[in-house]
This record gives sequence, C-alpha cells and structure tokens, in this order.
Amino acid sequence: MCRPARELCVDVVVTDRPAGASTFEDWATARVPALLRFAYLVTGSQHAAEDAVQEALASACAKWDRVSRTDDPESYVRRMVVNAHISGWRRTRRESPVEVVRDTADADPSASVDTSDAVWRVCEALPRQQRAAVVLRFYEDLDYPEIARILGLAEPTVRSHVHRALAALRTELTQEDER
Amino acid sequence: MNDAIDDMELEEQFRASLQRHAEDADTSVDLLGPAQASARGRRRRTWAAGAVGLAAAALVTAVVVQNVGGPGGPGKPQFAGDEEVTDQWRSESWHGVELDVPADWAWGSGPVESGNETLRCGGPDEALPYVGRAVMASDVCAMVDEPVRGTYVWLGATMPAGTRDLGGGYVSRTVDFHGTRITVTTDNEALSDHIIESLRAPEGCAPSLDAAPTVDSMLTEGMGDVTGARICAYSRFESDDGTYWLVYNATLDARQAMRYHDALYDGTRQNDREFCDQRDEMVLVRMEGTDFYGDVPVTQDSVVAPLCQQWSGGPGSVTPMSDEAERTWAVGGLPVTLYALIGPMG
Repeated sequence: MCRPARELCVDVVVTDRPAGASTFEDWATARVPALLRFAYLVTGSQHAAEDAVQEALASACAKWDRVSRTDDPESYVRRMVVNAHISGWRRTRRESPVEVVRDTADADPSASVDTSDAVWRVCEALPRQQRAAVVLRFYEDLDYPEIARILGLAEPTVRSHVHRALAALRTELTQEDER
Repeated sequence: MNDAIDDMELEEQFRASLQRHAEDADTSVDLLGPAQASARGRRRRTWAAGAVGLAAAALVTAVVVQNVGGPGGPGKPQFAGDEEVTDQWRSESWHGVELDVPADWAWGSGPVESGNETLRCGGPDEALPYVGRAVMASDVCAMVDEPVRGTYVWLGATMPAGTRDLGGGYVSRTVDFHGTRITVTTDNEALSDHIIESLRAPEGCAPSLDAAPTVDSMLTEGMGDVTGARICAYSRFESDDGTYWLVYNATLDARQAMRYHDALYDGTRQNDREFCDQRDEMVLVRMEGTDFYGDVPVTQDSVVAPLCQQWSGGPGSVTPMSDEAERTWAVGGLPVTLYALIGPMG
C-alpha cells in the first residue's frame, strides 16, 4: 500500500481489539464484507452500499487514531454508513445509481420465499431512517438504546419506527393472503 | 394467518429475510484502496481549513455577536470575544444536525419561512462570519430569495439543495441532512468541505425529546469543584407534534461552567414546585465535577425554563432566576436562539 496511506491509517495498536486487527488496514479488510452486507440492507442497492461503505471507511481512516480507541470502531463506521445514506448527500460516483437486480435463480415460490419477499418489499417502502432502524434491530441484533445512539434519535422514536415496520409487514402479509 | 401473527413471529420473519437478502450483497469489491485515497485528500483539506481558521483567529481578537438585544444588550461580546476559546472549532446543533464551524464565528439569524416568503430577520450582516439559525431575531426583516455572498452557515433555511456560484469566488452549497437543510457559503472551498464533512447527528445532547426535560435526582451534599458543563437547549416552537428539538448546544470549560453554576445556585431558594405554563423552550444543563469531598466524579443536571425565568435543580424544586442570574447565564449563542432571550419584538 502506498506510503501516505500507511502513515495515516496504520500502526495504531489497540490492545482490546482482536489479534490481527490492530491497524486500519487489518480491521477494514476483516470487516468490509460485513459492512457491505449491512449497507446493502440499509440502502437496498449494491452501488449505494459501496458508496456508503467507502465514504465511511475514508472517514474512519482519516480519524483512525481516534476511532480505534473507541470501544467499538464498527459501531462508528455503521453510524457513518447510515448517516451517509440518510443524508441523501454524498459525492456519488454515479449520477443515478441503478438498482442491482441480484441473481435469484435459487428462489422458489415457496411460502418462506413469499414471506421473505414481502419483508423486502416492506423494507423498500420504509423511510430511510426507519429502514435503518429495522436493519439495526433485526439484522445487527442491537438493542434500542444502541440503535438510538447510532441514529441520533430518542429511544421511543426508534421503538416507534420498529413497531410501525412490524405493522407494515402485518398489513403486507394480510393483503398477500387476500390476493 | 394474518391476525394470528404476533410481533415475535413478525420479528423472526424480518430476521430471516434480512439474513437471506444480506447474502445478495457482492462483498468482493475493493473498497479499501479508494477509501484510503479519499482519506488522504480529506486530510489535506482539513489541514488547509485549519490554516484558514488559525489565520482568522489571529485577525479577530473580539467577535461581536448580533445586535438583537437580549439580556446581554446590543453588541455585547459573547463567548468568542470575552472568553478564552481554546478549541479551533466548535460544534453547532439544530434540529437533529450537528456540524463544526470555526470557534470564532458569531451567532445570528438565518432565513425563516413566513407565509409564502423567506425572510431573514436580524443580524449580523455578512461582514462577519457567522452561524445563522432559522429564528426571527428582529422585527426588521428582508426577503431572501437565495444565498448572498459572505461566510456563514444557515441552519434550517429552506434554500433549494444544490451548489450555486455567487461570483467573486463565493460558492454556496445547500444539503439535506436528516431532513434538515444546511447552507454553507464561503469563498474558501476547503473550509466549506470541512464544515459539510463534519455533518453528523448530535453527539453530546439528545437530538430531540418527546417531553420537557426534568431533573430526577440531585446531589444531597452539592457539588465540590465544577470542571465543565454541557448545555442542551430545546424548543418546540417549530414542532407539529410537541417534540422538543435540539436548537443549540455548548460545552463549557471549568471557568465558564463555574460561572453558570454560580448563576443558577446563587442562594435564591423559593420553591415554586413547578414551572409556569410557558415551556416551549427548555434548557438542560449538565454540570460535571467532583463531589463535596473532591474525590468522586459526579454530574448534576439542572433544567431552565427561560420563558418562565425559572430553573429546577431537583425533583419538586423550581426556583425563579433573578435578572442578574439570567444575564450571567444566557451567553454564547443562546440569546439569538431562544425567543425567551430575544425578547419581545415590534
């Protein structure tokens, strides 16, 4: 890796992180796949997920000496990913990100897939902040205070977001049953 | 199947579906290299902006805040002038957004919506760099169709999102963040970049409250040394559902915090039991320090209701604030943020 990058983002040793994850490069290499999956769920788009994660990593890299001293660097980066998406503003590499249609050849019309698709439809219809709350709650399994901290919201607001998402899914499944 | 589905089952369906869709993400892309390259450029811009801030600090020895009255009186120097500002940057909050501005910028008003018009009511003029909130700080208003040349941040002004070249090297950028509009105008691109890149959710104060803040406990022996304080000011004037939005925050050093502490705990004790009904603006003050014996870190919350000119330091204890105490207490950006301190207009 080029020298300036190493000067900026590596050689910071933090003792309470897993072995092999003591530099930004090590940490990011290990965590990028998980962050991309998280960002994909939050944004619903491969391109938007890549943009959000890259933006968050750039920010974390520039401040790595400070970020790495926190108890949970990943929490910081997750918050950056969510903020980048919610803000709707960032220097995108593309003017109009195109939704990536992933290969769903393994999908079958079973009930479980129907339900899964219903969940995804509900997610796509949710406001960005509400969707982020749902992903943090049901994919990252975070508790409400932690989600409130990441999203910068009051805890009751987060609970309300999640409750409304559940209600939306119930409605979606009801309508599906009636069709 | 529908009515019988309880929340727990729905939660499980969310979990299973999200887990399945997460696997659709392509995780083989290389983001590390581009991120590091971007970080290098970001660091260079930060250094450039820092140099701008230092130069400005050297030139400006005393910044006079807006001429809009308030307890401090017109033109009274505030934190940036009569206090020692040790940080180069300070944070500013408004309706769920926090950002950094050079520590020596003034506070003032920004454009507000009034009927079908966008007005700016109050100073300062564009001769000073400033942070302008969407507050009517004067009954003398001017229509504002678009950003004007100057160096400022407008918080909550409903300018169209996008970038405008104002000529003379001045560029105005308006972005949305968490539903709040931010306009940054300057002739320094690095400074503009630094401010916009600092956008974040508020970190030291809750961005909103569902109800007025209260003090649930108090130190029985009081506080010994005061080492700092955090101020979180909330307003529900612009709220449709009664939510209190964070409109201003400040971190005080030991000397400033002690002044705040002394202004509140000035010996006056008249238990009113509850605040008056005018609770549209509330300020939470969290003092940090040590206990009476000086060896245990403690915090003590107080809540001020500026429109009532009362404060509470514990459950069931509400005390009037004297005019002198309020003058001492209402400093920094508070006098041009809270209508209680802006005072009557017209």
